[in-house]
Amino acid sequence: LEVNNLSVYLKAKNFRSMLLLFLILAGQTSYAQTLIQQLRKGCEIEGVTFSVQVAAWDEDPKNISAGFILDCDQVSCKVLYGSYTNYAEALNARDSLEKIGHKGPWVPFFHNDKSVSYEQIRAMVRRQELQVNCDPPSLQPAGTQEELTSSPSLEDSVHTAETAAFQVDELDEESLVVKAKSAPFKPFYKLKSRVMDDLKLIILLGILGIFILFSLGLVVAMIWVKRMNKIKHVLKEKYKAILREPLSQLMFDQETEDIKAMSYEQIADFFPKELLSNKLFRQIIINELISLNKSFKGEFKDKIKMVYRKLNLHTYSIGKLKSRKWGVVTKGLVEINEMDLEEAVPKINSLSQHRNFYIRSYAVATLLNLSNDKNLTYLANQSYPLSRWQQITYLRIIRYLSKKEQVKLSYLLDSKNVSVRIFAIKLVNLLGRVDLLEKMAEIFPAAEVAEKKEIVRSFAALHASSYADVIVTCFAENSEELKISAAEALGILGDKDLVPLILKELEGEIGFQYKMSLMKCLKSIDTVLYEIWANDHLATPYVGLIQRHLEDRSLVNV
Amino acid sequence: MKNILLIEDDVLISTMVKFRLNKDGYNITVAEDGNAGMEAIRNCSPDLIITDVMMPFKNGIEIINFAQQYKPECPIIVLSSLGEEEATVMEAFNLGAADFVPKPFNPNELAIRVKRLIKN
Repeated sequence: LEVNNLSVYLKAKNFRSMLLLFLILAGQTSYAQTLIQQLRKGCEIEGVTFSVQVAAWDEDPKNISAGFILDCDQVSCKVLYGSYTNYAEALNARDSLEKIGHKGPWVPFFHNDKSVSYEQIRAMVRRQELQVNCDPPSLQPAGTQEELTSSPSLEDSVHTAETAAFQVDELDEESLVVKAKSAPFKPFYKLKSRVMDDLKLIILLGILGIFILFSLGLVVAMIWVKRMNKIKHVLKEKYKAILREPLSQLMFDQETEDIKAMSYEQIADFFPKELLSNKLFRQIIINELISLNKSFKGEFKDKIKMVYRKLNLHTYSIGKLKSRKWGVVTKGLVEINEMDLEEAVPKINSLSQHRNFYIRSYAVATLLNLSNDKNLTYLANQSYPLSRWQQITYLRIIRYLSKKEQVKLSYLLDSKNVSVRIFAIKLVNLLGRVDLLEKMAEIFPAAEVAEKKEIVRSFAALHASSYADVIVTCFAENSEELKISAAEALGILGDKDLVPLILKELEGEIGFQYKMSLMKCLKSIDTVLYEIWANDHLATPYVGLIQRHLEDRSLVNV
Repeated sequence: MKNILLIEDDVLISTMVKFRLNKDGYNITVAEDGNAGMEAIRNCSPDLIITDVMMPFKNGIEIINFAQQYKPECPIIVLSSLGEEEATVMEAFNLGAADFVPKPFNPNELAIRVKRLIKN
């Protein structure tokens, strides 16, 4: 047998066949393999016959097909087909029966017409009670007789395997196993190829190993982080519980003047001393004091801020501004803002232009609260555009501050940053700063379209009729949006002197939206004139449509 | 000794208020959420209830409603932030709240309001 052919065969066969191969290899003896091999090759044993059994019953089946023999004994009835002295012929008959549709026929052994097992035959051959005849007249070419001895050695079998021209595909698994077992080991792969294949395997195993290690590492890290978080959470709750009593004593048992006169040591006596140096404990005190500062008012706010300073917690808050983590910096800014740490203003100033959006936003918000710069230069000098969120945040603070004193917005109107200028115009509008209308009129000619729109809206919102001439200049602009804003503003201002100008605009070839704004404007200034004009111009594009639209109350704001 | 039920989910605030009102000689029972508050109204028959509005499980409005059924004679002070909807505050008063203390608040001022309501 060519070992390479075996390898090819093994490659082609499925896993089940390979498993069978190993099991059989483990269980078979070389002698047994030789006997069955001999029988397959056509050797005969005197007194031994073979038949093909297709079924067996406990009772007599009565009817059987033609060509089959019924062989009954006391135990059961067997349905047999033929009787052969040659095992190979019996196998052929079995295969033929399978082909015509009989399921699972097998070949039983008979000795002197008695059913015997293969092991019994093999034992009798061993004991030389039976002789194997490998030279029946119908079989084997000359020269193979020597190979088919009754008890051949392993070497003989190997020799037989090497010289016999078997087609591997024609062999059944059992005989293949026999031949594989008797063949000496000869690696299929050449050295180079095998090494390369091993290398691939090593790489694959390496990648798998790294993946498994990485996964395990991640799981361990997750468990560790979760555990640490749990410990931290428990500690936080513990520290919070520890803090409640001393903070209550400081707030309600001590007067403001008493706390003011206290030293660090005296305040520290209220707390567990060993914990004051603990970073987490310090942070919990800061958090709790800030929480109280938000909830309490009056003298209690002063007490909270005093305790905060006396415990030197302000140094930790200011120190957070140096952190590389933006979350820590913003936390520091919030603490500084809440505790009014004005000494930190110079450091915060440098953060107001920070590239990080949150740091920049919190820094400006803190400066709005703490800085003495009434011109809001830190806001005016912003190089980054202001987002809507920032504008809302700053507006809330500026609105709060403007209740105490007037905030200077003129510097913001001169900012080089368009978004800051637009924000300033909105502030003028929302805070009702009519004192800055003149300033807005000044910057109007050089302003960008978005600014002009905002200025026009502000003029309208503040009913600045005296600046209608500024608004009118928008009709000369190219931007239709700006023209629409101007028309809406003029409609709100209701200046009748501007009617000729509006009518002149309406005469031109203009778009639907702009025409509707102008007609709306005309209607709000002089309804009678609007009706006359609209009826006279019904043939003009859109006029009839717009008229119906404006008269429909449900569409008045559409 | 008068019993006051304080329903507040912020433990720090409830501890502070409890500490302050204890100084005036009141017996304070604290409930940390709406459900615990309702349970306490049933069990400890308070002379006055101080309740937050925004709380887990049951809000202050539900607490007032419940208290009006079980203890209609018990005055209720609503303690809440100014950010609450005006409608909520009005609803609280309509349901029978006796007083409203907006946050941030002065604990001494709260103590005075408590004293006044308990006297009445």
